[in-house]
Amino acid sequence: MSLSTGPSISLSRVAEQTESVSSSVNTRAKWHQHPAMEWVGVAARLILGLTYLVAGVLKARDLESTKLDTRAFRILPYDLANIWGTFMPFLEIILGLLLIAGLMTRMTAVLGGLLMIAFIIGISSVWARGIVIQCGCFGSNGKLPTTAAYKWDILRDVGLLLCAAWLVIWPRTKLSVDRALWG
Amino acid sequence: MPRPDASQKLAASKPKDGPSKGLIGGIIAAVIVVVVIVAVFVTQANKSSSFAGSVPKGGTDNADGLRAYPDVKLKSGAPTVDLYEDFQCPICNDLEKSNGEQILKMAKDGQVKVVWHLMTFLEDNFRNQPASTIAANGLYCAADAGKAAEYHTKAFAGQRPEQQEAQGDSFTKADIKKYGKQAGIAGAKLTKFNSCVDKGSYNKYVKSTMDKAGKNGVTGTPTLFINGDEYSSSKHKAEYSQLLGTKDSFKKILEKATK
Repeated sequence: MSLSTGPSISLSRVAEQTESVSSSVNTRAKWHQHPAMEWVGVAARLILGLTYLVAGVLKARDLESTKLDTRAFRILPYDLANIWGTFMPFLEIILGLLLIAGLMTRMTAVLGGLLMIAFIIGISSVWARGIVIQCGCFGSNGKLPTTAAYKWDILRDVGLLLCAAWLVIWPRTKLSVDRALWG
Repeated sequence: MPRPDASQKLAASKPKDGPSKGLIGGIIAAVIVVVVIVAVFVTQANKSSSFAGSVPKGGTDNADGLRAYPDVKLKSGAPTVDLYEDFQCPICNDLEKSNGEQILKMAKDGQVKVVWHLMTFLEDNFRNQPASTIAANGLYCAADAGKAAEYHTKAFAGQRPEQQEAQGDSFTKADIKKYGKQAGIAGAKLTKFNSCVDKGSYNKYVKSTMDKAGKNGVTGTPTLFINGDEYSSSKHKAEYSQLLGTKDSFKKILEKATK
């Protein structure tokens, strides 16, 4: 920019300013403000919510096995593992229902995300220690279950964690109780 | 240029006044707290601190397993092998087929102290309660008749394929009585054995042994402890694999472990 082009600079500045004002109002919205993105949020809610609901119900149906599986991680002491194993399925069911309904989405997504991080840490920990989480009864054709499945478990949980993260950042979604109550 | 009046636009974009988030959050928090309290109480109620039921012959006062051949005098320096299994567990049956005979023979000769810890979680997994419990109770009934080892062999021989177990076709009391007879229990002892099976006389011992196994850190079957050292799908995996799949490998692994 040279001094001789002074007037044109000021002109282009004006143009720039007008443009930035109009874009911040509504003409060129950011990509995540696009209405379609709220449907991504709905998908995230349903994927995470249904996963929690189904997992919670399956675990709650058989609390004895859930407690045993929780102990098998060998992270928590015996009594604490049993309490966590009894409580966690119901927490999952509650989180699942709230996510599917879209009620208090941001808070539920924070809790759901933290729980997912805890699961990822748990699986990584047993993987690192070479512990196999299984009851020692299935797949008994001379082949023992191995730790090979852990990477898929972690991949799945990371995907679910991303769903939770999306909802923490953009909690307002279509078809949600939040929307009906608070707009 | 005067600014356009935006009050209508502002009113339209203003969030609606719904019920307060604090109220809804409070209700959800209250539900969670109630669930936690119930969970803690249920867990505490299920836990019995000391064992106060009848103990079978070869059992311990704190319901921590049952010794095979309790009358056999152990040779000096004989190692202790704790064996955690569930009569419904197919992999336990692999161990039984590969090494059951050798383990019992060494126990009978006093070369090793074998302690069975019967677990029952597979009846929860298979949802075929009380199949594991009646089979475990049967072992304790047979112990009183002095035929625990024989019963142990017969019960594993009678195990159904996993698919059938999962569909609810597993041990019945009639099966258990049959195994008792096959184990060589006869006469008045058989009558007593049958009534012990029918009444579930050692059900408390079964339950306490299961809890004790959990506290001993066992979460799967079969798990072995050779002088307290764990052999499972998570520890000493190579030896464990051999125990399950290689005929008569127990003796060699035991010698290596206790050298």
